[in-house]
Amino acid sequence: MSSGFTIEEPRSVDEALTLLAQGDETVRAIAGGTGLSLLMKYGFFEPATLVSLRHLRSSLADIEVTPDGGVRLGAMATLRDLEDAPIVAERLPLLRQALGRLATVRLRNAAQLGGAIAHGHPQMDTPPVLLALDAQVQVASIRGARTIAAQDMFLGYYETAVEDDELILEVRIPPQGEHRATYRKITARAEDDWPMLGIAALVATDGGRISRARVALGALTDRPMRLPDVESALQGSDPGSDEVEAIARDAAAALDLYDKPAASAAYQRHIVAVHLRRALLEILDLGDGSSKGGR
Amino acid sequence: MTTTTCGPSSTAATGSAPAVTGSAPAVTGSAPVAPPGTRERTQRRVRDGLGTSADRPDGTPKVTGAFAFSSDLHDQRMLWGRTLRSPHAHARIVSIDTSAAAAMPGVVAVLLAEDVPGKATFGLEHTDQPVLARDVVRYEGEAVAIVAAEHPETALRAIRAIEVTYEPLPLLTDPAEAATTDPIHPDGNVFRTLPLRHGDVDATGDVVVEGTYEVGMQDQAFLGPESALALPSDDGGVELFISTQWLHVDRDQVAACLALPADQVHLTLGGVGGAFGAREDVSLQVHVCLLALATGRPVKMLYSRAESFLGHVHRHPARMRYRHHARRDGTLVKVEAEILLDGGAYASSSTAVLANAVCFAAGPYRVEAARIDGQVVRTNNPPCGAMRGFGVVQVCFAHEAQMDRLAAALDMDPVELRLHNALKPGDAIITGQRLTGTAPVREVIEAAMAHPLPPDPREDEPAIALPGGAGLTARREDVRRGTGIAVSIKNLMYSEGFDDYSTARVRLETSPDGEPFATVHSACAEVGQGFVTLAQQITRTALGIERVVLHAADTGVGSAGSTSASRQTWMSGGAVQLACDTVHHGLLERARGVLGVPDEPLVLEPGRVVDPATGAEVAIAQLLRAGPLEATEEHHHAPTSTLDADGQGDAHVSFAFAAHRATVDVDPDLGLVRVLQIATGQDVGRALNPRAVIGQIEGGIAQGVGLAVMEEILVEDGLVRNPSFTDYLIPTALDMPSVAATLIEQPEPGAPFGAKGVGEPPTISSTPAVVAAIRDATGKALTRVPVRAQDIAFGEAGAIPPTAGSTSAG
Repeated sequence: MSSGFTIEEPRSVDEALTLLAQGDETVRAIAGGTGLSLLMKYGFFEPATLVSLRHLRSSLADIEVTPDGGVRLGAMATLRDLEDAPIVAERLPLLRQALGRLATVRLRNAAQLGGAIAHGHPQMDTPPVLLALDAQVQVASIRGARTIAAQDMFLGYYETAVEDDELILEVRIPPQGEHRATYRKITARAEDDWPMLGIAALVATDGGRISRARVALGALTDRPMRLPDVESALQGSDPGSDEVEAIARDAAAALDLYDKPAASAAYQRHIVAVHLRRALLEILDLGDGSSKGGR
Repeated sequence: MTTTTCGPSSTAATGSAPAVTGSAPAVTGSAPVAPPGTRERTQRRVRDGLGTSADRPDGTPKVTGAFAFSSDLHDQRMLWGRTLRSPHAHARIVSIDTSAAAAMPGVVAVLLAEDVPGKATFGLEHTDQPVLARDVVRYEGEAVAIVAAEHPETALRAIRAIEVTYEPLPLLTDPAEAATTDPIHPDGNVFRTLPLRHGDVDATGDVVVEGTYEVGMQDQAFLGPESALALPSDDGGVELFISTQWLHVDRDQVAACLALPADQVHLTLGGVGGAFGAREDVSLQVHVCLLALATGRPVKMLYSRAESFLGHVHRHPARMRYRHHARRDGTLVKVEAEILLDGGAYASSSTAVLANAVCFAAGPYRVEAARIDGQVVRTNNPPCGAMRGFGVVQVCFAHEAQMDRLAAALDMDPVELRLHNALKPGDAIITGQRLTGTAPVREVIEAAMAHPLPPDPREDEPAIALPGGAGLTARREDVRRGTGIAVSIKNLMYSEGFDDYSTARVRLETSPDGEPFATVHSACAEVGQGFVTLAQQITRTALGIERVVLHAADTGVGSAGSTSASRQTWMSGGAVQLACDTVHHGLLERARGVLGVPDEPLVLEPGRVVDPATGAEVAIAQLLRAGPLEATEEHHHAPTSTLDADGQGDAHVSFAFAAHRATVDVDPDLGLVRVLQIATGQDVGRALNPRAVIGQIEGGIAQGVGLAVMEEILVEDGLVRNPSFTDYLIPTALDMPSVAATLIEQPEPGAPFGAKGVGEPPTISSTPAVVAAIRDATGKALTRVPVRAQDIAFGEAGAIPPTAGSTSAG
């Protein structure tokens, strides 16, 4: 009964956590509402209580550099806040690049970082980026606080590691050092379409060799995934274009995919091979006049 | 060919509308464009008259949000109606239990098939669709029960509380099996079979090319979902406010199903948020009126987007096999085609859609012989009916691909091949009908080709301008550019002997401040096409006054026919013209009395009637002191005939032509496309409002581009997989190409003001032009639309060269 729910508007995080600790999975926190309201509209989720976080924004939307040189992103920063933040532009250009092309500006003005994680929809742009950045997600409940690595966060369709009584408070990105990174996605039919594939790729180099590589894919299956084989093939190496092509081809061949209305499994595998090659060529500066992925 | 333009329309071709580039090479001849001659003076002088880009009367309210669409209708006492729909594509209804729903607080009525007091079925041409399913459901979304409740959420819960037991039946989803499968409806599985034999059907050409083509199911995707408000009236009848394309045909169907005389069912047009054919059939009209009569209260219905996808007809999917024969010099000898359309579960306008597909199967070309076999069948897929282009869209995709194949086989330029075979006035189409009106096929092709191509890509092109856009998928060197051309012919108005007409009432009187003003009363449905503007322009020009009020479109005046078939400018524009003529004559008669010149030819000028012989004049306002002048006139077009057993006959009123040249950038590896530009030449007769014509051209191209690369209703086992704008995508501003348009103005004999309908042609040949451009860039076959990314990445290559049968055949 979608008309029968109440809205609570707690004034503190503790109050919010108490409201979420009722042992009822139809009590949910709502922030930007861009994900949850769709689920409610289609009748997939019928809440008993919505816990609006709107009075908590002042304390949960900070974007700041941490003492170790990493970045702390408040869970209630809107995607647009992050896109516009000088700290993000300077230290996390990969995140900024992905956000600049995420859905529409109307949506980015409303959607918030915590919700973009908790929603757990597989066809989103932020999860593969957080995986590539080794993000750590801080959550809290009345039982206490804990940290969930982005890599362990996404469990399946609308499923995350966040428990029903937990609230995402912030996301910590460790220092990335000197690196090159790109986020490329395919929206097959129209500019505003959901991504059919998102690739976040990052390499840090040290003396000509790759010291750290991160490659994550989104939108293909029920959750975003790192590609450890690709990362280890890159790590410590100095690959040329032919090797990059082989790495991308092997990675695509190893994927377990399924047919979708807009794309067969074979086509999805094909675009991973093509798109991953292009992404790696770009960040390894092996392309010939490639677009640099900036704005 | 002269390059001058006709007087009153010279501003039309080169005027202020920025999208009209270049000057239209209009051939004027001496066609009288302003009948009768006395009115030529006022045509140039009345503000916002014919030929100007007068503002829409509903333009500002629509832009500011003040315009009331039918979904905004409200009544203090109203209930909300809701429809329970079948989740199965084919099933027997074993039982229906409404007791739980009926017992819910706030639920006022729950109605089933047995509650329909009159005719149990409805339909545009064949009344084969149940108002509510009784024993069997034949498609997903078929209406089974309706409820009325105090709140929309209560209505939603009530339909969920209705328990229906279904027994699934075998599915008929392959149209190729329909004719030989057990009937899924008492009327059988074949809506119509239409053979066409023209000329020497055994003739052969030196070169033969053949191909098989498919068109997917497109949706009209209007933005304003189905909505209406019904109010019981004091006389036991019902008042219905509805967004529709044809008020009177709705009224007749509602009255029959409600067992009411037609005069007790009164319809008024609600604000329409797009139509494109999808509002020609009854959707919620009967349901909402039934609920209003059953409850004695006003009832509102408003479909959700998902429900809208199930609640209206779509464009017919098509499978087509073609064979073209030509001589070495490119002259077409014969076109052979087998055309199979999937009509879905109910007839709608399928029979007329098929007639169009067959009649125009060869396109805008002179062909000595043709053998066409068309069939449209019933399946358990969603019902299909009218959509912009109406049967011609499907065959145009096929015949234009064939023309490109033929050009390749002949090693001829595709444009040259089309010019070589282009229809001219006096030629016959494959139904044997001669073109007695204008037929500027060569001109539209040359105009489309004359536009400059988009500039070459720059090195520093931002990535967002490439295929894949915001995803940053492509690098410049991954992209290939292609161009393609396509040409189309479309009939205007209804065909095959239908005596079509429109009615208009015009009343001329003075307002309390003493100023003359006219009221135009027409049932013509304004669905965005601009009739409201045109009716004002015609009346201003004809009566020499500026103030023209539009009476609400309703059934209080005679039928205007449907807003479809590119017909309202001709049909209802003509009716307004006739009514104005009668009022105009009445004015002159009064003026002769006042001026005491019983036999003098007088002239109407803005605000007055003048005796040119003496210079004596009298103000229109003074002539109206004797009372208002009013006239109601019907306008019929010239009669047409039916098609004979060989598909021959003068079945059509008039024809319009268009050519489109598309330029695309393609990333062949990923299969992504960006449509950069559509250049077009369109045969418009005369542009009565150039800005409105350009609007139709741009909108039609958007839908044509959508069919080419985006839009398809995915149906699996009869079930619609993507009934939302998240999963069914239409072009947005980010996806639209730039449009360069030239209007070819050759006044059409017999057409009011010489104007041809302009709504459909832009949709028809833009689709094949885009696909031809993608073929040019990739060398892929692409025999199906919409073209998907994987069709480009994985599709068969080598399609442009001829396939089987491309050898000399004597």
